[in-house]
Amino acid sequence: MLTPKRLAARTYPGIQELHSNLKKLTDSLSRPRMSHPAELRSFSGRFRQALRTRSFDDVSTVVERLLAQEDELSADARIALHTTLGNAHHFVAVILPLFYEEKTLLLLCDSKQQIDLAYSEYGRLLSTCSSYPQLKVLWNQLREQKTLFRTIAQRIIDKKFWKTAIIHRVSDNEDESMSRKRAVFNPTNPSNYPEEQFYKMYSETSYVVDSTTNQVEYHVFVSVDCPSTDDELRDLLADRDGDKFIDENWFRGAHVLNLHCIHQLKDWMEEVTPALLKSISSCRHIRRSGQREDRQVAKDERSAMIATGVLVDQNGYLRPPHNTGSMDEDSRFDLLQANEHILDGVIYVETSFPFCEANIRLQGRSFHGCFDSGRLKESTTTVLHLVCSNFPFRITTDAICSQD
Amino acid sequence: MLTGLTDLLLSGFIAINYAQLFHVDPNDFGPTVIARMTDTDPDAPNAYHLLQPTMNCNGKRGVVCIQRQGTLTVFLGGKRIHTSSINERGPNQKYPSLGVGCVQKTKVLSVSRKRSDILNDFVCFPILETYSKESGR
Repeated sequence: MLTPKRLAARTYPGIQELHSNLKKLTDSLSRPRMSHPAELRSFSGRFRQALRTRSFDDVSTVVERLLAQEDELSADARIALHTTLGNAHHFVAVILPLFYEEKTLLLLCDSKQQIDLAYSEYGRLLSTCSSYPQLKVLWNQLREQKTLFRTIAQRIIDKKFWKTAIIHRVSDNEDESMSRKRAVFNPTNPSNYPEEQFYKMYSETSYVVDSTTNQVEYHVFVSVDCPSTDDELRDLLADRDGDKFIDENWFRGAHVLNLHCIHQLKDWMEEVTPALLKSISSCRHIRRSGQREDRQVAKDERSAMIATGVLVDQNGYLRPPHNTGSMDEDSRFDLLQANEHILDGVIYVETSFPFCEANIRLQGRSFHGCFDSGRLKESTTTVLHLVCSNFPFRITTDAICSQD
Repeated sequence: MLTGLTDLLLSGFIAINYAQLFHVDPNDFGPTVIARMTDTDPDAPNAYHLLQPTMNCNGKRGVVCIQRQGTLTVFLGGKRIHTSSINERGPNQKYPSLGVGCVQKTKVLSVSRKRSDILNDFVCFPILETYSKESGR
């Protein structure tokens, strides 16, 4: 049975530390939380605007003061702060409850649109204000990063690569004779690779998916059982707002080539390469089981894998990254921040493609829809909750949703 | 996510020169996404490609997805056996094979109504609950 202590152990500590510090600073202002007249059942646009404007200075003062003492926070709390300032839902959920009575905030931010609007409004007010320099610098940095990713994503969306998607129909066999072997593709001297250790594949006998042009190519793998024609599949991929579904029963994967033709993306990949190398050399490597990794080979060939971003363990519990060794908090923060930036880029590009944006049919397995970014049509409260809320609030709000 | 652009909860990983044993990852939920950030040694053109030997197509046995800078591959690593091809020439520090991946690794945590009292001690974010309900309509 879950107890508060056990649930706390599963809750991301960075957000708890951040919240605690924000609360102390808010309490030091000694201001009552904003409320609304009891007779109001909904807010007009003008009233919402007035509420947001009235809280702006207090919100900014608290965040500015927190940023001034940011080096006293753990790296995890600093990452959580940046995430909170970079995301409308996190901003509303973490910061604004400290300044509004609960019922007032629920009415003020009663829809996704109002949450986005509130966040945008604070940004607008900040941009026209000469105070709060540290908050302004950070807000602008986060906005620049988002702008870059959005530009890349827009290029992908504008080009509509899915209209010319190449469909591959595949079948599966159960042969697992290659389990625990390594693989060699087109070996120059096959006799160097004994059958008991290596599985050999050749371009003549295997199905090789490579680019045939110097443009972005979008390949989609579906099962031979997929009932749709190629054109129907392309229509489905293009239909971002419709009610058709990519079915997990026949979806087998996708392969996109030549994304580096998008020059902003190529620039970004080259920019983050040093950070990737630094992360690999600075973080402890993942040790995989003997069924997946030959440790001697990994050592000899200097192959390595590290975890990055929020660590979600095999039980689904959120953990702060613990592979950074004994480095100081500032160095750890820089490393974690660089890794988050890299992961942001990959995920944002990935979610620009329609295998994510199209609807994925859910069949009782809750998380298969999570590559969708908000277009799930058949879903449970729990799944919607996860898609909508995300790190680092999953534990508390999952629990709340489960009571519905 | 640092910039909070997406509402996804994923575990990320960075790999260098990774070509280990064929395996399945049964604890992964949903597809695995991998992005190749660099080209590898031009003298080792057959190294570090994604191989799925139990997937057949057009009468050919096994599927090979060529990996080079600017490729993004989605595959079902939790269901199908896979690995990447070895580098016959050995590692080349000048041309490291760098990839970034992400995969869903979460399960649902559910708390029954009877045990809702345990939530009293936690920071609660009702806006998100409201948003979830609103989106679910």
